[in-house]
Amino acid sequence: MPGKAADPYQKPLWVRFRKDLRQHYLAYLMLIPAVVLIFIFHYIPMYGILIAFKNYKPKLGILGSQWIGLEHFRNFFTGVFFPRLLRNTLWISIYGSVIGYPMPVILALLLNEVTHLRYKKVLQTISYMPYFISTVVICGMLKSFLSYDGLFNALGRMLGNPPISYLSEPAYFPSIIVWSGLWQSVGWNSIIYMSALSNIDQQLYEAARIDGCGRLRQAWHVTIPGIIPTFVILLILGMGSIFAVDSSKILLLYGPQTYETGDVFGTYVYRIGIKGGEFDFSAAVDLCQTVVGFLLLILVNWISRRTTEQSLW
Amino acid sequence: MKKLLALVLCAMTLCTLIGSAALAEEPDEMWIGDHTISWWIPMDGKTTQYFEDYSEHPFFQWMHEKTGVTVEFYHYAIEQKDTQLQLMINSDNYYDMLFDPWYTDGPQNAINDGIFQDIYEYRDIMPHYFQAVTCGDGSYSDWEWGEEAALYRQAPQPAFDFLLTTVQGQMWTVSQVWTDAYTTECGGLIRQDWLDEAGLEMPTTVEELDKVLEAFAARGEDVIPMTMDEPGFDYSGGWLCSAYDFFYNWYYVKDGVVQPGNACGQPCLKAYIEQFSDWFNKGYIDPDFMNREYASKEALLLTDRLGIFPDCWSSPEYYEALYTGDDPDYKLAAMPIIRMTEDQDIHWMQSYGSQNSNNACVYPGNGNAEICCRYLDAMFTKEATIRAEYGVEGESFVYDENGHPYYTEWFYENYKPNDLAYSYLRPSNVVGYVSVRAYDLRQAVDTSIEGQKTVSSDWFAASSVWGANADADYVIGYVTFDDTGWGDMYTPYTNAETYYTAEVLKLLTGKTDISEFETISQTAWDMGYHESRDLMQAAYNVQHQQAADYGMDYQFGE
Repeated sequence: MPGKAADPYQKPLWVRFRKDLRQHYLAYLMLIPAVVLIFIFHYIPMYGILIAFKNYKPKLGILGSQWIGLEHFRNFFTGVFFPRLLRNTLWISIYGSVIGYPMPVILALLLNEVTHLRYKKVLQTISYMPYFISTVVICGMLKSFLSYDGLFNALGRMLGNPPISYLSEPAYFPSIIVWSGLWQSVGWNSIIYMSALSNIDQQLYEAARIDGCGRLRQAWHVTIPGIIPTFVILLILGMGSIFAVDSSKILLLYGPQTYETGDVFGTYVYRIGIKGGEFDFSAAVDLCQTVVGFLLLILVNWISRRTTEQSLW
Repeated sequence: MKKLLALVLCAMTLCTLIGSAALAEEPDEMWIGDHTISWWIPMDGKTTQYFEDYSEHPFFQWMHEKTGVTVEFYHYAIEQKDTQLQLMINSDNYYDMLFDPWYTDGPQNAINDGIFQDIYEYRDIMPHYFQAVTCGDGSYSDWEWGEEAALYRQAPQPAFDFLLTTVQGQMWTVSQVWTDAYTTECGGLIRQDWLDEAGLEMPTTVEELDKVLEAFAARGEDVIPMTMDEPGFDYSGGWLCSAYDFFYNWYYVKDGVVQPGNACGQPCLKAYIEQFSDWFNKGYIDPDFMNREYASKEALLLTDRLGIFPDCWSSPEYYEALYTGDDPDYKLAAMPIIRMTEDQDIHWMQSYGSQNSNNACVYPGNGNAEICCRYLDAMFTKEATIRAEYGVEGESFVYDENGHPYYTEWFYENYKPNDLAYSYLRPSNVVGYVSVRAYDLRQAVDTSIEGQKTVSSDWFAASSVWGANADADYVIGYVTFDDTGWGDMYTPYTNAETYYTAEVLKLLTGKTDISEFETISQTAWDMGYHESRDLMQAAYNVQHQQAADYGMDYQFGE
């Protein structure tokens, strides 16, 4: 009787899993610590989300505190600072993404074109170094560089510009955060693209050269398509944390004079939750960020699947 | 015969027992027993240069010998304080003693929630501490001696125990008790040599200050005539805001009416802003004042670039000693509070003698509250206080024939500021009685005085200038709330503060025109100052009434 060939994937999941487990038991064994870690530190604490819906009192505990439903969410969305927080968070995040995503790609492409190995290694090391400096030190350096007597104003004076107290000017604050973030991470983030570049089949370059492509056209037709999947995956993942801008650096650099452009959800949560002790309200704000981030991630993943055929799932 | 022998033996045994009992030492009043308690406290900044942990500190090693109690210290970084405290609260896992914990629902709720021990419950086993906070006339420290004895005596503060008492009549902390020596700990320092060169007298009024700033600005582009604290107000001492009759700090109370510290919307604030903005735009004020950190201000002062520097816990001599620049005439002086007119009364003067400080709160949930209270009380004994202030008997101090402690020659010969003092004397943030001799020693010793050595306090001298002719009538003190009152007050206050501080900064720096002042102030008032002020006023009224019932004049000052 003619029939379809037996498709092993049609077997029940448990059977397939058992077979896979037998074949790759070592890999599964290695996976266990990571799964346990994620379960303990990411799933068990999730029950704490409950405090976003409660008038949380540490003395009464999470379950014992009074249930108040969506009151914290209402207070947040109708709060006087909500529009400003939303605007600042989105602006710094989008600005950071627009600058932060292409730059490591460009750096990786440029480094890829450097043929002198020692020079290339030196460049790579220099570009990675800021990543290993702690945020506190970075902020100290920034304060020094951007002060009235600092490096930037010294350069400005040489060009005949009047000095500016950069960290006192709300207009400069998002740029300071974004560009200093780029300085810190561009080298490090380029590593993954360097890795993607090294996986591109060299025969493609050879074929392109035979077809008469110069270096620029090789980059356009071979290199960039080769790293687009990595770029898209990182972009999709990044969308999930669009509301999670680096608030630790902002906290170290901002002040009342720059709240107007620098106060974001993360800093607000820190001020109200940690300093003010309103954990329930802060949990509600955080939950909002996470839910919106998650929805954005799904949306971007769907768009990407439809347009580039690249997606997380 | 046997009976006689037995009788003799019995008599001998009895004599031995009686003799032993008679010869036995009196039990040490500080001895508590073999216990272990934990203390969550940061290390005094300079102490970290010499010790890894307070348990290594000779004072605490001595305390261990005297009390038998082992203290396990948990030192946190200052900037981690709030985070660690909130984590402690939420994990319900506390140390036995907590340094200056800021419970967001206020001290009363901390006691109600079982986080702070009501110290009154252990009143009977804390005789020394309660003598210190209730004697009212300063007699607790009657061992202080010498010409400065009156200065080093405890500040007479009849309401001190009341300051530590909540609205429900419970005591929420064990506080440091201070001497009366300092009128205030903050004020301005000025380049005296620059004043002399300009032929100007020490400024005492806003008008005179304006002339001084102009003269300092004329010294060159690199010179910053005056720097200011970050929000644009002198929260270090009120030496400039006082002229405008307000004080930028939390709340203050004027004629029984509670006001937000920044005098939201009031004409006095507007006048201050107009003057400040004028100075800022003329280049008289540090253009980076909003971002400049303390170390950077210090660097300006020590590199001949700064004329006037608001500071706390320092003295002109301290910076003169640190100065390594080229100017042989480098000289600083403490500035008196700036007034609008020479005869203006100043009503803001905050000093440690009139308020609680460096508090140690006891957590009752670990079952060690009694041991903690006894240990803290031991730190208020005369022996512990003298050990804390004078060091080791026979080495750094001896008693004279009148029973007065005084420092030995050896101590003076070996003394170096910020060095020996930290090995011998109690760390500055630890509770106990603070007579300030030890604090003086951290700064400078004047060995030029003939005869019995005394400590010349530059710090005290600066404080005297800063606090001259001022009282503390506007100081609101520690207002405690019942139930949810604190939280109800704090949230609208924070909202208004967040908005107003930023907007006032724009006015101060001239980015927003002063004509917007009323509109901005009204917004802040509606945003939360109004509501929070009313709640603070109500709580203050209750506390004020209780103080009156307690037989005390709760108003500070005098």
